Amino acid sequence: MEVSAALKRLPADQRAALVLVDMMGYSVEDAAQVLQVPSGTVKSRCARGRAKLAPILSHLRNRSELNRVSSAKGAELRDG
Amino acid sequence: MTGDTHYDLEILAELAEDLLDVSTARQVREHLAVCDPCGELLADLAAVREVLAATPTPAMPMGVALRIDKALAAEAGSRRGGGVGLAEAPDWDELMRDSPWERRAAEAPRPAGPDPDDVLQPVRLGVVSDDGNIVPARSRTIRRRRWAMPAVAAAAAAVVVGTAVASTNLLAAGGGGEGGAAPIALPAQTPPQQSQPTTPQQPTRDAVRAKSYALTDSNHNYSDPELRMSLQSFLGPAPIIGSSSGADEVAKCVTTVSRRAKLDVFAVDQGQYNGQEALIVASWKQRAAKKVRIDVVDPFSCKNLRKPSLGRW
Repeated sequence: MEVSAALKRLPADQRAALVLVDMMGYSVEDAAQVLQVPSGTVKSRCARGRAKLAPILSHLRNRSELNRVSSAKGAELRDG
Repeated sequence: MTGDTHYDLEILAELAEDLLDVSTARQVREHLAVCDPCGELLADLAAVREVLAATPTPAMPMGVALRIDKALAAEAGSRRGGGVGLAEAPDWDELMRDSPWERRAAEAPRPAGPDPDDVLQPVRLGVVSDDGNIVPARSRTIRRRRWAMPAVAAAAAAVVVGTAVASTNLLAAGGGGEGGAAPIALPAQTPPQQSQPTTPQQPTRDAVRAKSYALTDSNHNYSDPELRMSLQSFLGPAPIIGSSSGADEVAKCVTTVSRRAKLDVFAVDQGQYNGQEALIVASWKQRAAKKVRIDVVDPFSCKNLRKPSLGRW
């Protein structure tokens, strides 16, 4: 499934948070201002949205460069 | 959940966002250190971010950053109490006219082509529903609310293209075909996945007349600051509604709005405004400069729920 199709499956609030933060690269704080919600809310919307997208988009992870990056990030997170 | 159990994606996503309390976070990390499957899940989550970051925002115009900055700046200034309800908002046109990005847009050289400002009649523009990946993913029954939403955003590409063609038809009388479409329409970064059928098969005039705007149903609850930014970023991913459903009701409001504005409505989204059901109607103010007028209207009475504002596509 492609990204835009996957995004459509999310509730609008989660989609907006992910578009701003992950796609457009805005900080959580800026996104919070634009969306008029607290930063924590943006974070949790992002988290929930990503949790929903992960199974849907996991096949994309095996694409060359994405794979490398995500693994590195994963390792970093895993090691705290 | 204990250290012996696997953690679900949501917990892991919260860990990544630092939303867990310290002790839970430690527990999860300890578990991750020894649990490969959970580590995989975490990597999947990180991959989501990467995939999203690597995905071009659909048809994002250049002014987005400015628009958002503007929204952020305005945030501080325009904190007038609550603002829910129908009270007249500040003069949006005035506000927008003086905004930095608005000025910049005015000075920017415009691509050649007819200025939509000159097109006064409420023309039906663009054909959208044919483009591949924006087509309704989930078909939602819209019986309940009887309008359809103009796909404000995603449709962008297709709409803009369609519009270009329509304008050509209008002003150049019958130039049904010169391929002016793609060049004018898209910011360089057309997302690969969206590019397929985005280039419309030249709509015939009848087709143009039949479907003039894109309808989407984002069901998003819009706030003023959001409406000051690119609508595309919100609506891009919204499902487009087939023209069949509730189109008449929407058409009524669209006609009303376009008469009132004397502009071409090209996109309508079905959602909410401050918690109230609303149609977000976008019409071209200056298409070349990607300036739009945004009307937020009651879907039933077609009355404006707030003063129309200028925005950017």
